[in-house]
Amino acid sequence: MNRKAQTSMILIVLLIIIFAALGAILLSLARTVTQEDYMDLYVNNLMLSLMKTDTGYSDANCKLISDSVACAFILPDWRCGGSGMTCLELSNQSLSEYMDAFEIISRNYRYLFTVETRGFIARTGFEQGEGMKLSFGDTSLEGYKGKMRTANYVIQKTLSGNQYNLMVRLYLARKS
Amino acid sequence: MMEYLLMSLFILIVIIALIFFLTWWQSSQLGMEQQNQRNERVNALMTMFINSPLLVRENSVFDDSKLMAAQSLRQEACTDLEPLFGSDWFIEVEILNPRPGCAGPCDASSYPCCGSWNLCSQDLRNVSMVLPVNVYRKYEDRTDLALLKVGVYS
Repeated sequence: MNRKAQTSMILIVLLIIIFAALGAILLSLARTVTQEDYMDLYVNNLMLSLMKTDTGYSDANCKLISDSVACAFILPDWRCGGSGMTCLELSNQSLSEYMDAFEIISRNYRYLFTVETRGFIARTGFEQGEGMKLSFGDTSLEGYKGKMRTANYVIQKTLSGNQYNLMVRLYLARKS
Repeated sequence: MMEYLLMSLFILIVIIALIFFLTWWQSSQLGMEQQNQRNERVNALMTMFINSPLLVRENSVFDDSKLMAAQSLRQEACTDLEPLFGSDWFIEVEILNPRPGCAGPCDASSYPCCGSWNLCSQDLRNVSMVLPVNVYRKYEDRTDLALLKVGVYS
């Protein structure tokens, strides 16, 4: 008699646990879909807005963050405004300063910006065959195999009479 | 006899648990559907605002003079914009790194030394989302990074 009552109790508890777990799983699945759409919009706009932001310099190579990133890639030692920071330093500082200002990103994500050429490029300072890539942020994300969000931005720039097409990529991975 | 009673009681409890579960599930589904619709509306409004020539200079770059003009109309602007964006919404635009001493709300007396605008804000319960955008500062001819907050009243 006692054993049957105990079995019934255990079964009831088990059923309640199964219902609760099922509900929780379904609820979390539905919530993820809406957040995904929002995060896609957020990450793309983050990239777009960052690149269009003024750095405070009037120098054409350093005016916008996209200008300074392109300059850091093509002329890394160029000093903004003649005697200011180099393009590389300015890009590094502006990107990290602004990324930290976004609460959603600084709290939950690690980020990496990479700059690469689209097609052939001739530039001094690189050994023959060396890959031309510039990175800002958490470089450990370069070989990261987990889930990441990405956004792309193309910079078209004419420097010293040469035209460059640069691809800037933003990678975001959740902090563990 | 006792076993049958126990079995009946057990079945009854399972049926009641099932009824409770289905009722809870249905109500949470409804609540979630409502929440999803609000979120989708906020998402749609965000996309509309960052592309609307009434407020932006180019995609995602708000024009501070257009924001000032819309803000100065107060409630009239909300009514005028209702055919385009619907009712019960608000937007807030805040410069992320304002110049020192220029972080306050924008109005006729503080402009251009100010750092935030809001349209149709009310002190009501709301659902909102934020998005990175730019604001073009006409007087300084520069583009600042800002945060757009779009919400709907629930």
